[in-house]
Amino acid sequence: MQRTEDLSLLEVNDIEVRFGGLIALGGLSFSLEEGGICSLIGPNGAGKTTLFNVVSRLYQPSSGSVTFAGRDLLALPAHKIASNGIARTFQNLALVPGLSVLDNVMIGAHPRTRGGVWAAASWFPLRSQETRTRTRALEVLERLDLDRFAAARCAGLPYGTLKRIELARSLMSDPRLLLLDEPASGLTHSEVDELASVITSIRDEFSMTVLLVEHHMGMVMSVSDSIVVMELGRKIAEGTPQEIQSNARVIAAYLGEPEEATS
Amino acid sequence: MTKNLQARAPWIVAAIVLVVLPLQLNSYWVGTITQWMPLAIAALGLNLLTGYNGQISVGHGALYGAGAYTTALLITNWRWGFLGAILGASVVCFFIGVLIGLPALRIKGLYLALVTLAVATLFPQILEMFSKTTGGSTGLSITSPQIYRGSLREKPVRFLPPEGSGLATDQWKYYFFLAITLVCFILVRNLVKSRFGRSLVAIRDNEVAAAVSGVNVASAKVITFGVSSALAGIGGGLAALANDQPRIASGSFTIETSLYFLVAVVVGGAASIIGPAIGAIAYGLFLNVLTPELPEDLKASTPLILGGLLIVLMLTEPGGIVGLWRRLSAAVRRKRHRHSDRAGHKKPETIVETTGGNQ
Repeated sequence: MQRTEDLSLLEVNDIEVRFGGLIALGGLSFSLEEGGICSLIGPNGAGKTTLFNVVSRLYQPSSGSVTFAGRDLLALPAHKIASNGIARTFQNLALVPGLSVLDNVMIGAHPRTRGGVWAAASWFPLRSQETRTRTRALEVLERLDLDRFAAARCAGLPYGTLKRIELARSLMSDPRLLLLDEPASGLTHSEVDELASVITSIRDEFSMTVLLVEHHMGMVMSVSDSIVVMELGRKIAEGTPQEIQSNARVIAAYLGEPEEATS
Repeated sequence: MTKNLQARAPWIVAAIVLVVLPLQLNSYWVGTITQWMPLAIAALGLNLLTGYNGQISVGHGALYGAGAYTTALLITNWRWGFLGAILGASVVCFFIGVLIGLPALRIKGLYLALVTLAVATLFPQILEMFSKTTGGSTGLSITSPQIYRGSLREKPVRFLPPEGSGLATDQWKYYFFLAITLVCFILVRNLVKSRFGRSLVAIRDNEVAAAVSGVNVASAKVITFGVSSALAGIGGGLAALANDQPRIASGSFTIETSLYFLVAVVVGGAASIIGPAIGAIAYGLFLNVLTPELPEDLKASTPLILGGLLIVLMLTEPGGIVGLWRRLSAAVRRKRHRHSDRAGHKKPETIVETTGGNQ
């Protein structure tokens, strides 16, 4: 894929989102370079998930613009976002309990596959595509060490497993940008370490850009190439992990004592 | 391969039984089973919409009726063949379904049920309004010009078996119905197991998950409404032709018809392919076998008994008959596992699929 020269991959410009009188995002601007892992941090209510929902077109901002690879995202409906190269996971999971784990992951391939009702009903035209999708889904499941759950249903599986299933689904569309909303929440200590290495290695394997919302500072500092700090719907700082850790304003707003932050 | 065959064995047996059945049964039973098939197709359509996609319709009786009238008019007035008329009915009902599905995008759950309830209630009255074409409550005979005592006359249509087949009229009709029923079930099975089917279930369970994965929720919902209605239309078309002297009247497509389909789906097992067929058969057995056996003074309370059985079934097994079957076979499998464990075999580390929908 050709890179857009000198243009950032994601350009968020002066976005404002209000819920009644509450300002969730108050003129947020930032840009994201292609490649690398960028973390979005900030206290609860800073507007991180709101930004994800704007980029996924689940929320309509009252003003501002979002450009992805030179394309105006706000002109697209929600279901066109995935086919334009953006995939995401959810803080509180958005899986389909009525489907098997394998089918849940295969849904992620929706933007990369074709076929209407007739083709589906007559089975024959879509059979090789279906086989390819299934093979690919099984590969992704195996990559994330989930293959033994393929036939299971999501109901009753551990939380950490469900989070990885969601990650698997998001990878199925071969995204250029992956939005991860608090992937480490609810995971055990060892699971978090494993997750950090999974994120960095899939970033390379799938050659994508990752935008990460996370409260787990240890993980943020270890995986991020850059960090954007938000507070009350605005960006208050931006930089490398080292710069952020020594930024006085960030420390005041969020991190607390620097010794703690580096732990 | 052997596993594949083992999994398919029940289907193959069922298919053979269905094919051999009319050669073994008397004509009363052949006719009765023939009449169950349209119900099964309509229930199949409703199950696609309600079971798989989560849109509740109490109005499929109206679409069933629309299919029946389209078929009747195409045959009687336009001289179409049976198959052509039924396909025509499915196309007409597809578009009616899309028309109902569009406003259904804005309303959900109970409200959608209410709107479709209105459609079901209005349908017989619309038929009365256009009684010149539809025959109103008097009804409409489905006829074709036939040579009768040397002259050409309009006579009720008949299913004439091909010469040399050795089949009786009712057997030939049975096979005609069976072929259409099987095609419908196979098409829906393929649909449900496809990428489209996955998106239907995703929409039912989690619309946000579906949209974020790239599913066009609105168009999938409207198309599902259309396909479901087309199936109801095919069922209705067959129902119109089911009797020996095919005749339809507005009284046959009331709200009760819609509720039968819903009952068939729920009793058989929502979100399972074979569920609606089993539901239709169970319902037919109740009406044709159990009811005649009841003592005379209990017959009037048949709906009460049916309602009571329905409540008991829903309390014990919300997954319907298919759910019950899955639970029992899972229990049997577990028991076998335990036996083999005791015999010293290692427990396999795969996760067994749990019960509940989508097969």
